[in-house]
Amino acid sequence: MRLLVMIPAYNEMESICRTLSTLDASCYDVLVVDDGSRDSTVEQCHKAGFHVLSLPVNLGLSGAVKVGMMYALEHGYDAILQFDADGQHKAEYILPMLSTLSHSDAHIVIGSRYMDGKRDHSMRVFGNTLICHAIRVTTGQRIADSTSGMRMYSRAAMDWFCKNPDCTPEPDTIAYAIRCGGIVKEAPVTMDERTAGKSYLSFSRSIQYMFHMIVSIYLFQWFRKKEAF
Amino acid sequence: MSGELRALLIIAPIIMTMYVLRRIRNTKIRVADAVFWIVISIVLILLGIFPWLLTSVSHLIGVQSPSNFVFLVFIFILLVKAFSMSLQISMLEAKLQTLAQKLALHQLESEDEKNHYQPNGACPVENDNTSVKDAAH
Repeated sequence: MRLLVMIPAYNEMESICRTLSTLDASCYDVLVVDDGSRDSTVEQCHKAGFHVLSLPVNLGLSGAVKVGMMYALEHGYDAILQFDADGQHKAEYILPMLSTLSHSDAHIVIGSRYMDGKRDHSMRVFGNTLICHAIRVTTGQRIADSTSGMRMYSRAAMDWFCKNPDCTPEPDTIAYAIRCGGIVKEAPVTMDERTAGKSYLSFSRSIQYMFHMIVSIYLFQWFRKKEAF
Repeated sequence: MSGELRALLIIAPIIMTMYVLRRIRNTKIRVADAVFWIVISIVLILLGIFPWLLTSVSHLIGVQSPSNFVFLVFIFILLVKAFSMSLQISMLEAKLQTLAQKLALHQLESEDEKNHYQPNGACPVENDNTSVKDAAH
């Protein structure tokens, strides 16, 4: 299976080089998707010899992920991995996740922090539990870590994702995928705390995000047209 | 309806119409999009000139004060307008996203052609094999 590791980056010049240096470019291709960065992210990636797809304007995470998928589809990759530029994801879990994908008929493999059931008590975990509950109620499947940003998609999933303009790389899409007949698996990973930059989710943003996810999973889910894989 | 409200219903839409027409002149708004605002101001002016239109309709429906009726109707019209604009923005965003993505893919393709970029073609995990190979075959 040919794998493309895609790194969406928006003004990540402090961490991108360190993140790129952890990747093993002999096992997979790496594509940095620059989401209209205005700092030196692109130059640094080029200097390090990495392949960069530059969006002319800032589209946000979902636009960046989607264009990475379009690239992967066009160039015949069998799977794509969404990998954070800020260094919280660990490269050692990439190949195990790919194994999980190839040895099952899964469409989406989530790199999951909470598969062993151990959770600390923080706001993030609380939000995660709420979404986990929502997904279990609406789909019947238990997804321990639906908010993980480390996700691998098969070719069929990429195709499905690109056909649906409403698909974002967020938990509500996971629930929607399950309802559309997609097979979602989890693979255990660990993550580092953010090493650079500020989290995209501030407190008010987190509340807004949670509200959005809950409404989307509990309510909009039932009105969305089912697009088969 | 009070004289003040009538005056307001006549003067405000006239100012609004002038403003919209000036924007059309400066090509800041397309004629098709301006029609809505012009129609709204004409309706308001008519209501100011012929207030019995308003009072008879509001009595018919059973709203006590004609001014409340004006508020009700226009809040509803504006809600519908806001929703339709929200739809338009969503559509525009989708189109913009597609354009930006196509442009980026196209640019990368021509760049790759110039630099003779070769993907490494590594295949670390076979489709139906349980072993994880660590390099290209």
